[in-house]
Amino acid sequence: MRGFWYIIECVLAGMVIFGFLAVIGRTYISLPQPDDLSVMGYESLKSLDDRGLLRNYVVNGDYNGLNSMIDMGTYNHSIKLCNYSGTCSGPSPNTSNAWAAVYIIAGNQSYEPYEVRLFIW
Amino acid sequence: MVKHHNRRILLFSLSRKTRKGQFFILGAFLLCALFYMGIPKSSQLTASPTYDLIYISNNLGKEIPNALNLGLNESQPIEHLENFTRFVRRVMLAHSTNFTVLWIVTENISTNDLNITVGNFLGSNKTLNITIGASSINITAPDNTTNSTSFGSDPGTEFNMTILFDSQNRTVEWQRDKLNIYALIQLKRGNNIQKREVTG
Repeated sequence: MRGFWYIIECVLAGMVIFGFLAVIGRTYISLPQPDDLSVMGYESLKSLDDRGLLRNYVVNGDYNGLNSMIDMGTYNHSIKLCNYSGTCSGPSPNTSNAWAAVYIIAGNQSYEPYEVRLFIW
Repeated sequence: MVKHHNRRILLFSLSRKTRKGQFFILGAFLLCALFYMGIPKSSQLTASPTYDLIYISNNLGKEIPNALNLGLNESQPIEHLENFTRFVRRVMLAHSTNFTVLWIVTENISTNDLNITVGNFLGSNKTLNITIGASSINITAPDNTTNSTSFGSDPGTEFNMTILFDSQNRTVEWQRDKLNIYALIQLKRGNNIQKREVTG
């Protein structure tokens, strides 16, 4: 009978310890992370800017035209343009889980700051 | 009597032994309860870590001088640079990033009048010591403001300017007859900090 209770004790102690580790260990055991798409998005926008293709679309508010210039492979993407006052044009992604790349310009031929947001999902 | 006494001792020791295991279990539960109480509740919203600060700092390193140049085209270089600084700070805050910057701009007004403007957006008041040649001046810029002063001597066509503030000492080589800028940019998100110096 004593041995039976010892076994029960071991089982319960093991359950308690493993349960504790499962909760705490979650913060230390991470699943493989997907690619950081915000970096890919930034590089895509920078590439367009380096080729002189980005700023004209931005200052003209042509988010669709700019979006069509971007190729993110199998990922969906959309562009939102925000001016100095915080007024934004362009669609928001229809998902709760999207990467966002930010690119800021001071203007094209004149001072006209914009924030370019590239959403990728 | 002895037999009864021994039996009582045996029963007592047995009951103590069975109680010991139960106390172990109880103790384990109590310890675990203490641990679980000490675990902070996880936030409902989890954000994946991103490593784009270096790219944003590269972007700003290019656009801050660009803002100055575009402002110069409209005869408002300092105003547009300050405006752009505030815009960037607002945009970065919306992306959970703290953007701070200190910039120094020199502009040649006349032969013996070099205008020096300091824009301090570092989060605290700063006093800078600026040395050109053998002359030195102090400029105090309260946080979130700009301050201009005149360096009332001809620095020469090309000059070295030494900037001293906090524990930082920087020397830049500039030309008198153009707008010059030095900027110290810092981006901070969580434990991720990116610093960048820009001269132009």
